[in-house]
Amino acid sequence: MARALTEGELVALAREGDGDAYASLVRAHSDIAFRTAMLITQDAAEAEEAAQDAFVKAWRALGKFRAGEPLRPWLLTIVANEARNRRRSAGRRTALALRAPRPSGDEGSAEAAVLAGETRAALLAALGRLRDDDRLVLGCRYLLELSEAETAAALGVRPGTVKSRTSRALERLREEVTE
Amino acid sequence: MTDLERALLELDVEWPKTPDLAAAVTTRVAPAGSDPPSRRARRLPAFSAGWRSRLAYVAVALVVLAAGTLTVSPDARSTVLRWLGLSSVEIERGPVPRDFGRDLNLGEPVAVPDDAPAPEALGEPDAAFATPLPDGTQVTSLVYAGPPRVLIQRFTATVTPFIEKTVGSADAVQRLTIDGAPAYFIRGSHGFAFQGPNGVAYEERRLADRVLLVERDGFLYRVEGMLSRERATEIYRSIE
Repeated sequence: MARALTEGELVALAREGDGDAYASLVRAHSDIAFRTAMLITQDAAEAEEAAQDAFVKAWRALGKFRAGEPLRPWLLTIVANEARNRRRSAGRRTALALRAPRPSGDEGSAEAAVLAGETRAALLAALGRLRDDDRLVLGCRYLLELSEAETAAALGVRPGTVKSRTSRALERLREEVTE
Repeated sequence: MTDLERALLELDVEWPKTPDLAAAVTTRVAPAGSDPPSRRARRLPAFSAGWRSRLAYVAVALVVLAAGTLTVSPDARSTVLRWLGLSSVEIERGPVPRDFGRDLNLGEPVAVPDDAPAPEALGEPDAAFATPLPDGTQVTSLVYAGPPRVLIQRFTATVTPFIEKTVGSADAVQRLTIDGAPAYFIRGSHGFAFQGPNGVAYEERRLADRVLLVERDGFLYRVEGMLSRERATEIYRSIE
């Protein structure tokens, strides 16, 4: 009876040259890789190239990957490095936007829904105005819901640094939204 | 958790659509048949100055060449020998020992028949055997030392219609069509059942748990080895 392969099994196959297995790994991690790159580059085209280059580099470095460890933190380190290399200094930055809220069907809450929507949009805009370090750590921890270890891997810092940066970034975000 | 953190977690961001990275990446990664990532990690480090290092490299190169496991082209091998200062030395790759492949239980070694299904992609086989099959018939098995080792067989048979059931606890069975011929690429294979001239028989895994089976013109082709589907297909396609 056929069954899906685990990540560890796919990695083992990919290390032996199995392109199909690696393609499966790429598909499984495409969203998080692209979005992490997007947070850093703030440009979808740059994020796409960074993520693609990162997956190619990861393939070549698979022999050095420690079997049994989770792939995502290791992968995000490579993605983040590629994204940082590509980040433009100014100009073409794409702000993130919110999805349109689903209609609740309850007229009584329409005004509340609009207010809530404006509040959420204001929060996202405030996040976009933070300096890079603050925006990235909050984006990784709350928008992408990466763990502390994964955020540390993406930012190239120690997990303890993630904790302290998160705390300071939240304070600065709070100041932004209450101004 | 503060209200602010909760609000951040609840933000429903309209991320740009993730592009199809798998398609782009797989066209850029190393083609099947070249060094896989695990072998690249074990490759000898770059040559560094010092006659002791040079001597060590010569010793290793001789051992590797003599074992026949240095899978480089003849031109590249000559370049390496010149670089090592061995251009005046002739190193001949000796014949593969007669008992090569004995561990595969493939029967008696034989000379490679003229009509053997030798894939051009692999060149001349390192050994051939007259392999008795469970149904009482016999097939020529071609074995390539590689790495990876590859087994090629062509026998008068078809796989049973219920191949997914007969592969036992295989991890994955992919049904394919290769140049119009029905094919199966199996990972985690322990063997497969086939329909031969003397009835149904079960053929055990010989060499690796990956096998490509292709039914064409009344024959069943078997390409077995630690190969990707693409590489196995390429090898099969180069069988005339």
